[in-house]
Amino acid sequence: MEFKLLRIDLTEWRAKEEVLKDGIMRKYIGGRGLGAYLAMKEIPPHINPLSSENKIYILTGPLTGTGAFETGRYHVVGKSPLTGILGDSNSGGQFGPWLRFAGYDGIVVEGASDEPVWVSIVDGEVRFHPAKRLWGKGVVYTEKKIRAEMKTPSEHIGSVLAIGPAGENLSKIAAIMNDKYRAAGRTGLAAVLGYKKLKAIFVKGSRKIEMADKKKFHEESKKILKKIMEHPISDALGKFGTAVLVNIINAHGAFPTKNWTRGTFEKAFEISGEYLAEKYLVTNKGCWGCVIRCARVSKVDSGPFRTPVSEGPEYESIWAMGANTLIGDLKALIKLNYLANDLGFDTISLGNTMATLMELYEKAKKGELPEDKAKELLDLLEDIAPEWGDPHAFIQAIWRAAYRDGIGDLIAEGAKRLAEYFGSPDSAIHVRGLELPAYDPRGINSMALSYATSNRGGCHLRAYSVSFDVLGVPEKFDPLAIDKRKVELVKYQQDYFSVIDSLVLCKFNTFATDHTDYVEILKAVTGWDDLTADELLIAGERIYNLERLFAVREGHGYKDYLPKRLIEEPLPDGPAKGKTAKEALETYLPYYYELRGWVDGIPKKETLHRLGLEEFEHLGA
Amino acid sequence: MKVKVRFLQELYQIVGKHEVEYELDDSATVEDLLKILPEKVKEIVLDERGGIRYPAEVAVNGRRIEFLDGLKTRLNDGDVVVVSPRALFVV
Repeated sequence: MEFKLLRIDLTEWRAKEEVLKDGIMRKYIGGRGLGAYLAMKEIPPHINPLSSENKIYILTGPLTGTGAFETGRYHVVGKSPLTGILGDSNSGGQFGPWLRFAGYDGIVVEGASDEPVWVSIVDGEVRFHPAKRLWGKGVVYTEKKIRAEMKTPSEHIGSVLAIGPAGENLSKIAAIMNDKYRAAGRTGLAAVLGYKKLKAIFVKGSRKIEMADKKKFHEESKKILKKIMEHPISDALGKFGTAVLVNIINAHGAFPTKNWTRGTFEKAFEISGEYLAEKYLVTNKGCWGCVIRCARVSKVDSGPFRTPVSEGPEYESIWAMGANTLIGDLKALIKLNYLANDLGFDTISLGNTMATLMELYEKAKKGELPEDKAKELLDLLEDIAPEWGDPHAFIQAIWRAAYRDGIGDLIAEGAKRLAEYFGSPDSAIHVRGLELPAYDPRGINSMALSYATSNRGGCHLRAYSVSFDVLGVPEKFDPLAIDKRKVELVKYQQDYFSVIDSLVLCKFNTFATDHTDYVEILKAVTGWDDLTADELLIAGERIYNLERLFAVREGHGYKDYLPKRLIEEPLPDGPAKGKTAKEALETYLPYYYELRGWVDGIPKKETLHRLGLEEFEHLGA
Repeated sequence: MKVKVRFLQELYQIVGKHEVEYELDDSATVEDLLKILPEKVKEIVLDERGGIRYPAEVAVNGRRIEFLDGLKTRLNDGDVVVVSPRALFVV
């Protein structure tokens, strides 16, 4: 298969096309895998992520926009300003498919512009537009203006990717947004676009996606679609959205509350998917070509948290900005979610960072911070009093964070840097600098391994081991029992999810499918007639190892660990009361390294050889 | 004794309340509790033989009953029982 890349040079405002070879595609598939490979080859070691040498890869995969099932996503890769290692993030909506229809399978953003710019790509034609009048503006307004200028008012046609003020002002927790409310949120890659002064990309076109065997594609597509439609999870996601998880995870005592000091939140029901569906839901919505339709369209009619009809909030956003800061008012969370999207923040990182700020504020008042630091914090806060559970303080703070005003300058740096600055590093709950998502590994112990070994830092999407520890997919486990078979499943998920992110599919496919389900459909699209399921899974393993090598090359970020709080402080409440994540991590990690063929977080040379990564063998242990 | 039952997803929509308190005999089990739930809830949660109908799930104090004593799990005063129409899954 041919994979057409568009290289955009922002220094010169020039673009050129490049066709990637079939061999590279078969080895790295597309999306996340291809991005990792290109980043490893093209981004020099040890560069400042916020410099013109960094690159941002915006990539689709071989199945994107084919209309098969959940194929409406895209993947972004680059060196992360938040973690200093390889960063990547994935987003739904409709940008991925429209990028392909516009004529390209991926974009590489290179160099840096002197002045704000936005780029349009319509049927292969690339144009650069001055963006001075859009700089400083929110994501929603930006999309509206660009659609007006491109004479494409219908939101069903074309797509806009944009950064908000957070990205412009180089916030390390800024999200790349698309279709107004969709976020490639994790690892702060929007700051790299902000540095490059790229405000937005508009895509539209009528290119047909070529396939080796269209008839076979449709047959295979139907088979996968049937599996997804018949799975009970797909149905629940459509009805209640991802926030259906609030009550479930809270019931398990693994719902991190008050900056990870508790495992249950007394107001969980009032911020749940059930409550959202009853009170504030306008309708549900799907990404391009999706049948699950898990997205929420919500609104708040009146009061201080009035919010226009807009998308969200998702489970992670509700948790991070809600339970983790003790905000139990769903109206406030809908408002916060809207603001975070419009200003362009990663809601997981933002919520965690605000929870860290609230903890620091409490410590400052109690005299538990170094005296000079406590004074500095209280001075910088000016009129903000970030008390636990106070949405008003959060709203004040988010605005300042977007424009790096006062305390906002430190919030914009993320939880780790904020906590370190005020002399309380353990108040930030992160792995490799990336703030953790909404599952406490003290209550779901396989997540201890999933978080610790996640290449991009604290993340639930490299391995979603909650699926077997709570859901029972592919088999049921007790979330509190130490069981080494969980290690095998975490490794499997990491490799399988690397394939999913490289095909660029939605992870909600993975409850109903495994890697073997994608072999025939991929053959039909690419013409790789001798492709096997094993080859596909090994590609996933190759990608996982390659990402790890990026960290090895940087000389940091390859140690696998968990935050001190999760290792040393037992949960005080709920079914996991008295548990820490220490035993799980200490039991699982050595077996994980054995399965991976790694030594202390570094792939062995023989492992790299086995995976066809010989060109990077010098980085192996 | 009294136990609190929390209804999730469609069960919440059927019952109209997230949490309902039930009065039970002191020796009651999960099975006894499920028998006195509203008919429409039972239709979703229980199969013809009185077992848990896939993909429904029941948990007592956050522990799924399959990791306790199943339907024979004894209840205690103040217990919180979560009843969900489908696997207590997560995404």
